[in-house]
Amino acid sequence: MTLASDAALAPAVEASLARRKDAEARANPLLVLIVTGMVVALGSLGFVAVAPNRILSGKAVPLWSAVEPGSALLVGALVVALGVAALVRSGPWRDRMTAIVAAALLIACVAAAGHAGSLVAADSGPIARTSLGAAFWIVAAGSAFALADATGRLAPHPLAQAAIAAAVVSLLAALAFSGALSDLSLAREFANRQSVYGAEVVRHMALVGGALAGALPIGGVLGVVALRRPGWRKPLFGTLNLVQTIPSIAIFGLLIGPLSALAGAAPFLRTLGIGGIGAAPAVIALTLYGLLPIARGTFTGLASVPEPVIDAARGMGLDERQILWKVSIPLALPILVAALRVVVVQLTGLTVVAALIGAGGLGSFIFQGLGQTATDLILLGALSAIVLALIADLALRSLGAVLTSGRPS
Amino acid sequence: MIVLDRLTKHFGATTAVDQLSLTVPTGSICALVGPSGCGKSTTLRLINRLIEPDGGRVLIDGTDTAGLAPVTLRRRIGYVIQSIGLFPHWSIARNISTVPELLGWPEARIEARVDELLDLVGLDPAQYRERRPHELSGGQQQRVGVARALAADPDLLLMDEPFGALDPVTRDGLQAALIDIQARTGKTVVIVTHDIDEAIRLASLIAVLDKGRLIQQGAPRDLLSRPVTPFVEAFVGGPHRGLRLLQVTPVGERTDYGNVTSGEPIAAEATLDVALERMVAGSIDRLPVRDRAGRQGTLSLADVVAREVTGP
Amino acid sequence: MSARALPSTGGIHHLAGRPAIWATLAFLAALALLPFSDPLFHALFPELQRPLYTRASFVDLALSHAALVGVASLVVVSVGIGVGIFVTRPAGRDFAGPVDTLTAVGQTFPPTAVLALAVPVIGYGGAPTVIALIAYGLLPVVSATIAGLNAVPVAPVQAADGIGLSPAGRLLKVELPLAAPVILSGVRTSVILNIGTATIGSTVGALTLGSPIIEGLSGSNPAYVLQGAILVGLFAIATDLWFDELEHALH
Repeated sequence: MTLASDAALAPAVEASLARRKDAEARANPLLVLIVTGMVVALGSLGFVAVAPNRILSGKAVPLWSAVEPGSALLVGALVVALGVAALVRSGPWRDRMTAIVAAALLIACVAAAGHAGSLVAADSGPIARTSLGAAFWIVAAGSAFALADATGRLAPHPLAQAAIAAAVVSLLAALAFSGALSDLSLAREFANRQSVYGAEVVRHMALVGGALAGALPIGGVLGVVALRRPGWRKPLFGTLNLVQTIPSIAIFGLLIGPLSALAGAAPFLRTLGIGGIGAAPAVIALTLYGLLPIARGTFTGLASVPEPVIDAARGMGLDERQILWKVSIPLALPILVAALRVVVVQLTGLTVVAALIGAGGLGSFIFQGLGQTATDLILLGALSAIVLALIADLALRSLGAVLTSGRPS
Repeated sequence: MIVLDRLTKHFGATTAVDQLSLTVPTGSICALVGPSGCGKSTTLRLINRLIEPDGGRVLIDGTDTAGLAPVTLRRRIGYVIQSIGLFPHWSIARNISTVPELLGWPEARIEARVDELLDLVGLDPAQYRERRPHELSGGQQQRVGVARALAADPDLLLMDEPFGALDPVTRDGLQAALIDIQARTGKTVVIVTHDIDEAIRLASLIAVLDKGRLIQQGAPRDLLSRPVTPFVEAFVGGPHRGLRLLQVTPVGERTDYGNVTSGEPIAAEATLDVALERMVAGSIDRLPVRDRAGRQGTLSLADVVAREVTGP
Repeated sequence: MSARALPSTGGIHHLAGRPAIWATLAFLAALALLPFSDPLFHALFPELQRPLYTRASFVDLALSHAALVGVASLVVVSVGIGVGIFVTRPAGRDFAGPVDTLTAVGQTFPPTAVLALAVPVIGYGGAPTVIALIAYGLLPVVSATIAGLNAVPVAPVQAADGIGLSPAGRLLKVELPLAAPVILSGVRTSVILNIGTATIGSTVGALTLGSPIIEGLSGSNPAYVLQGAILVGLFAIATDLWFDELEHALH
């Protein structure tokens, strides 16, 4: 009987295997799209923009005339290689090839831009500026995305992804330290502000840290309160949600008045740094923003702990504090870390706005750049803020993965 | 000895437990049975003060539990629930050692105790100590649940429908294990169940509850042969009451010791349902009986179906 | 931000139980009365020469702000839901993973940084603001649409197939209605976020309710800041509360 049914099934099994093979043999449509975009961009758009000075807008120069033929060929060859990777049979082998080629392309593309900058500097003197052009951004973003997508399939574990990201970033950093990129306008802006750059990054992180120092304990307590008193949930989360709704700049602005009045009434506060503008209103506003995700994450996390586990713990004689710290919090940890990640990323973004009320941070580069129409200064601030948010995100993802390893899914 | 003295608990307008008084002798298994919502689980949770009573007292070996800190009280009482409630983030060993650790036992003693308990509940310590709860089957998890409850060697074990979520075969095995463990350790056990067969099998004392009140208490056989109300009669048996009565009546009671029959004898301590099964299986209406003293006799089908002797 | 507080259900038909209406009335009242509040702000900020923002009328600011967010949101909703539907269909399944990665990574970008990045490409004014609002606002809508469609229970979908609905009919009559609450919450997140980001749009030359705030901050005029903050705060809260009503109506 088994034999008979096996025989009957065989054609169907064969057909499904054939379908699978067909799917495996298929090209990666997204990668095809990315590579097509790169080819079109390199062919029709400027790879860099060259301007006689900092403020004037530049003239687009395509890749082949921006760098020596060897560099252009290398970038072109890597684009072609990525195209080949898009067409080969799917599987780990393709993803490995995609990841390696995409990483090489990303680095080669940055190096080519640096090379273009050096050629311009040698040609037109140190005042001329070389900015990154549309083709550069498309190739760089495309290869970064292809790399992220391929590593996402190859190594889904956040720690592995963090390691790959760190490897690529350190190669780019080595390139930057070698001086190969120093003639790019972005690097010049960085060099001009090297003395304050580190301080602003630290300040940015300090603002986020200060807000966390306030929001974590308060939000945590509010989350526990919401858990223990169901009647408070709606008004509590409703109010916190209202705070999140109000645009950040409005809250920053609204805090200036009361705080400067406070500092005026009690001048010693000013010596503590509490005044109408600066860090104090920024940290207060950021703390307020952090409350909802933390309170909600705490509530959701603790509420996710199975009731029987709590019942058993209580029945065995754990007191309420032991239940919270030994049972509930460890079990809620994945959700708590996820909430922390959301908060840190959100606050890192909101802190950019804090520069408008004199709190400093990476936003100050952006708004200075906007004020001076210095696009590369804008870029310096914006890219730094993005990188900082991405690092925070990846770091907390990795932390979450470490803390929850060996858990039932 | 556990004494429940006029225990009362209200939840809002409803009275969950109403003036309930019950005495559970030391070393016995007492089953609280009744339909859902009858107050049996609430009664159990009043004993370890997971719920505080609105009236009445609980005395354990003469001590009023109201005078103890709830946490201290609970560490002296084993507690097993239907959903098991093992801590999913801890190993089996750490789960079992929860209360000994709270009590500050030395590490060596805890380790020895964990192995001893895993042996007791029929799990190989070497194999299971370091496993996580999710790697175990439901039945194995509940064995760990029982081991955890016994960890600090409590005199009293409270079990809230402990085997209710398990399949019949697993449940059967765990019931046998519990009978064995209780016989070896002499613990006093109070078990809540809605399964009257489980109560009959495990308990020496059954308390039938309805709407928060104790309707009848007694040995399984008393309840089956002399239910005091139609509710108890319906609950303990309904149409199956006669069959269940066979399960609690020893063969020896119906044996005619003057009469000897040939064949493989059945023990006088066996119950009538086993004897009936053998008669049906062998298509016979008489079985030889031998008691512990070596006396021989005969059990006839007529004796099996004879009317239960009522009254003292 | 998925679970938000619902308005009190007590007496939904009474005005008192509808905070959305109250917030809207408060916003409109502020808009109407602020031009006449010169004496009030003189009293509040005696040290300021001109305590009332007059560079543009508050009504114009509000209309411009609403238009920026409205245009961006229209694009975001149509494109975002479209992309979400596409990657959950068999034809678009290959793109589901990458789109997921893109929305996850993209949402970690600071909105202000996205806004700033639009300037080197497009220049100053309302256009880069709208582009940034679209780029950033798409992410929550796409991810909510995918999440909502993926969370539709299997049983009704199989039932729809069973009674012979076409794939399009199944999508329109079964999947989208069941996914609607999740999609709506994504749209809500996107719109509220965009109201806030549009406020910052004043720094790149867009005319919004943030203009008095930015000008007040750079010109040390706290009265301007207060006027802008009140208006944009009420605008955002009123919009959010209307989403509450919408979610309520959907249930």
